Amino acid sequence: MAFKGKRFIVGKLGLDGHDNGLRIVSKWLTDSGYEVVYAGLYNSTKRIVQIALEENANAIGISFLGGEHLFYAHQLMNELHQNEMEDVKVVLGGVIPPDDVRELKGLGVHAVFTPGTPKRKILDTIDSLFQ
Amino acid sequence: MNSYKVDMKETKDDLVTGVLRGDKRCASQLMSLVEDGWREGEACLRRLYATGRRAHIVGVTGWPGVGKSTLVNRVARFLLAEGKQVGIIAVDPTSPFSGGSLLGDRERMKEIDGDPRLFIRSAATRGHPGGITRTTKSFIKIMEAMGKDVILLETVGVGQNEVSVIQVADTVILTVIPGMGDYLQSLKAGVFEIGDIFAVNKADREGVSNTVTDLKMLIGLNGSERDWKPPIVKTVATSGEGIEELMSAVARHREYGERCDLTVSRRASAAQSEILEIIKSRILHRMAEQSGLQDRLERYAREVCEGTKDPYTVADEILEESKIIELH
Amino acid sequence: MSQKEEKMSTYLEGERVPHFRSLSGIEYKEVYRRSEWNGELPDPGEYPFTRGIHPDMYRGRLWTRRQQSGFGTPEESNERIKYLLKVGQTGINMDADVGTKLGLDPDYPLAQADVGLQGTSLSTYEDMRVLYKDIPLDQVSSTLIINPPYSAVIMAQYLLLAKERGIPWEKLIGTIMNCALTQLIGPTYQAQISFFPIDLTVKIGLDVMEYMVPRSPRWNIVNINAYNVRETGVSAPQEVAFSMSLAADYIRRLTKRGLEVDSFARRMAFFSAAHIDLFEEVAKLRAMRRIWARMLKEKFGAKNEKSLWFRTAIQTSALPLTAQQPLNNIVRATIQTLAAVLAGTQSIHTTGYDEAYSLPTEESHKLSIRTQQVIAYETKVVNSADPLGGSYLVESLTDQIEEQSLELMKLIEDKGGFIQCFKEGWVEEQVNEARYKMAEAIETGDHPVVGVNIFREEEEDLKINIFRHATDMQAKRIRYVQEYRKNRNEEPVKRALENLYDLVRRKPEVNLFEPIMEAVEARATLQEICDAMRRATDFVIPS
Repeated sequence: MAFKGKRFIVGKLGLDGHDNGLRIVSKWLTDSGYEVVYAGLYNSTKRIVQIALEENANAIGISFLGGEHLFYAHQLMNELHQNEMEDVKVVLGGVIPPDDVRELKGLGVHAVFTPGTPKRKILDTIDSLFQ
Repeated sequence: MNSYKVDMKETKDDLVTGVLRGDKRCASQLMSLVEDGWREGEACLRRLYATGRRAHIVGVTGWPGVGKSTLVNRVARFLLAEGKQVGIIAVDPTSPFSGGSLLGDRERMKEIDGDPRLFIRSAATRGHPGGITRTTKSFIKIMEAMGKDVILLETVGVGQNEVSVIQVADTVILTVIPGMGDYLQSLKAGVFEIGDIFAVNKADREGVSNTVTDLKMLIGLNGSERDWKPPIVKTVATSGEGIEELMSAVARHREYGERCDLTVSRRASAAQSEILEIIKSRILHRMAEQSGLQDRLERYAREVCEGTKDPYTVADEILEESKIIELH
Repeated sequence: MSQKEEKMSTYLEGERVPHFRSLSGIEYKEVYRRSEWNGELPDPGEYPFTRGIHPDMYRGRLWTRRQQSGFGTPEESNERIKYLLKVGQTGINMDADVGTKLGLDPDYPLAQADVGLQGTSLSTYEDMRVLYKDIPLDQVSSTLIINPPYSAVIMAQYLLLAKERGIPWEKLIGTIMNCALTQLIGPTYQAQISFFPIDLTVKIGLDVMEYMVPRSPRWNIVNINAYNVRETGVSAPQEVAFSMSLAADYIRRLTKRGLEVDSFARRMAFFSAAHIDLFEEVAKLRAMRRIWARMLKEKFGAKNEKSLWFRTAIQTSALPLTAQQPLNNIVRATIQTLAAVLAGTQSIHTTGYDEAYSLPTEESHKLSIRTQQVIAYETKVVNSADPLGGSYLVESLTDQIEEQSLELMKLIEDKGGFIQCFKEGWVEEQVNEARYKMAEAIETGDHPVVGVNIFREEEEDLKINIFRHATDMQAKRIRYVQEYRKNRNEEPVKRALENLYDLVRRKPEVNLFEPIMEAVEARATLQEICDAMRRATDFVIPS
C-alpha cells in the first residue's frame, strides 16, 4: 500500500448527527492510502468548501441520512462552481432513494453510495475517479 | 500527483503575488506544490524568503489525548479576538502501512474555522517520524509571507523525534494532563528542555497538583542552566479556563526571546540545519536522477548482506561513480 | 469451480451459518443441559424480578403500542398522531427534529435544510398546543423524545398546556426522555459538545427530574437511553453497562441534591433496543431487571419495591434493517418485536420496513402496529409471564450477560462513572471500535445480512412507497417562527431571558426549570432561551 497522493475532505452538512458511515468510510479511505481531513459534523456548505480550498483537496465526501441531500447537493455544487473548484470530485453517501441518485448525478456529483454498498465497490469507484 | 491548472510558468508569479496578498487559494496551492516536491514550489519559496516577513511561531506539542487541538483552538480564538492574523498547521501521523492518514485536528476547531483572518492547514507526516520536516518549515514560511502575526504548529507527539519542534518554533508549549506522573518520570531529559511553557490541560481532573509538582521537579532537574524559568499553567481547554494566563506566558516568552536574542539564535541554528538538509537532499536527488541507481543499490545491498562487500566501500564506490563528490 | 457450481455444492453438502456466536460474541453451546443451571428462579413480581416485575405481566395489561412519530410542522404531526391512535396505537411517542434537539429555531441558517425531516419541529409554546390539539393529556400517555437541556423547554411547554386546559399536573401520565449524553445519535462526543456546554446539559436534565418528581407522580422523569448507543454496533453487555452506569450517575447526583432515592427511582425508566438475536435479547432484558433491582437495593439502599422495578420502552433496532430488499425488514422487525414481548417490556416501537429510506409512510406505520397486534392477540405468547424462563439456554445467557455487564460497570465505576468516561472520550473509543468491527464483519461475511452480503440481488427494483415531505413544509416553519417573534410583546420576553442569563452567570447552582418555564410563558422561542444560557457561559455554536 502506498500514499495515493490524494486528499479527501470528509464530513456532514447541516444538523444530522449520524456519523457511523462517515467514520467507517474515513477509515477505509485512510487504510487505502488517502489523506483524509475529517471535518465531522455540523458544517455549512461554505465551510466545507473553504476547508477544501485551504487543504487543496482533490475530493469532498459527504454523508446524508435525514433526507436533506438534494438541498445540500445543489448548494455544494453551486459553491464549488462559484469558487472555480469544479476539479474537486464530489462523492455522496447515505440514505438516498434511487430517483434522487439520478438527480444528483445530473447535478454533477461524481459518485453516490447507498447503504449496503460493499467496501470494495466504494474504494474501486473512488480510485477510478482519479485515473 | 495533484492536478493543477496547466500552465505552470504563468501561475508561479500569480501564486507568489497571491500569497503576499494573503490569498488563501494561492497559499493552499503553493503548499501542495511544495509538499509534493515540485521544483516550481521551490522557485516560489525562494522569492517568499526574500520578503523577510516574520511571525511568532508557537509550537504546541504533547502526547496524543492531552487535548492539543482543543487548546490550539482556544489559543487561536484568543489571538483572533485581539485582531491578529493567525495560521495553524496541524500535523497528524501517516500510517506506515497504508501511506494514508486521518487528519482530524481541524474538527476540534469548529468555532474559529472559517474566520477570514485564520488559515488552517492539516499536514501528514508522510514518513517523517517527528513530523517536522522541510515541508513544515516551508508551510511556516508561506504563512509568514501571507502576513500572519502568529503561527500555531500542532505536532504529533513527544518523544525523541519531537525535539525537532524546537527548530521551527520560537515558543514551545509542552502539554500534559493530570495522571501522567509515572510516564513523565520515565522520559529522557531532552524532552523537558524543549518546553518553554508547560500546560497542564484537563486541569479539572484529579491529580493535577501532583502533576504540577512532578513537572516542577523534572524541569528543575533538567533545565537549571537555562535563564528562562518555564512557567507551568493549568488549563481546561474545553471551557477556556487558564487560557489568558497561558497567553500572557506566551507573550512574556516572546518578549524575552526578542530581548535576549534567543529567538534570533534559535532561528539561526534552524536555518543552518535547513541549509544542510537541502544540501543533503540535493545530493541524493542528483544521484537518484542518474539511471540505474536503485538497481545498483539493491545489488550492493545484497552483496553487503552476503558479506562480499562492506557498506563503507559501497558508499565510496557509489559516490565515485556518480562524480558528485571527489573523494581522493 | 464456477460460481454456479459453488452455489450448487453449498446446497448439496448442506448450508451452514459461518459461526455460532451471539451478536455480542458469546459462544452458543451445541446444547444446554439441566446440569449447568442451579434451577433457582424467583417468580415474576419477586425480587430480583428476573422473570418480570408483575406476576401477571401481559395478562394484567398488554404492553403499550407506542410508535414514534413526528415530522414536519406540528399540524402534520398532530394528524399522524391521531391516525395512529385510530389504528390502534395506545400511547403517544413524539420525536422532535434535529433542530429542536439541538436548541435551534427553524430559521437558524445551519438548521434550515433539516427542519422537520427526522421529527417534529417545535419551537414555541403555541407549537405544543397545535401538536396536542384534540388530544386529552390526562387520558393518554405521552413520551416526549427530547434531550437536555432542551427537554426543560419542551417539558415546560407541556406543563403550561396542561395548565391552560385545566388539567392538574398530578394527573399527567407519560415520559420525558431527558437523557443527557446518550440521546444524541452516536453518542458522538462532538455532537454533545457543539451546541451547549456539557456540564450544564447534565445539570439541566437533573433540574427537570428534580422539578417533576414532587409535582407529577405519574410522570417518568427520564428514559435512560441505551438504544442510541446500541445502534452503533456495541454489544449487549456494553448496552447494559453504559445505560446502568449512566443511571447510577443520575441517582448519585439526585441524592446529592437531597432527594430520597425512593422518591424518584420508581419514575426512572429505560429506552432499550431489541436486536435480532432473539435469545440474547431476551436474556439481556432479564439481566437488566436483575441488575437494576440489585443495584437499587444494595448500592443505593432503596426500600420501596417500586424503586426496584426495571421498566423499559423498547424500539426494535434499526441496525439490522437494510436498504436492499426492504420487505425483508418486515420479517426482521417482527422477530425483534417478538423478542421484546418474550423478554417483557412496558412499550414497543416496531421500526418500519422503510427505515433505510425515510420516515414511515402511513402504510408502514400501520403495519408496525398491526405486527404488535398480531403478536398480542393471535400468537398466545402473552398468556404466561416470562415464557422462556427456565430454558437452560436462556438462563445461561442471562447469567453470562449479567456477569459481563457487571464487569464492565465496575470498570466504568473505577474510571469515575459514565459521565466522566464520556467526557474523557473513553465511551467514544469503545463505540468507534465497535462500529469498525461491525463494518468489517459485514464486509467479510462473518456477520451475514440477507440481501447485503448473502443472497444479494444485483438489479433490484424498489417496489415500496417512500415517504415524501410536503414541499413547502420547511419554508412554512421558517416563516412561522419569524412572524411569531414579530407579533408578540417583547418586554416580558426580554425580562425573562435576562433573568435566565443572570442566573446562569451568577447563580449556576439554582434549579433552572422555573426560570425556563417563565421564559416559555413569556413567549420566548426555544433558541432564544438556549441562546441566553449560551451567552451566559460564553459558549459559541457552529454557524
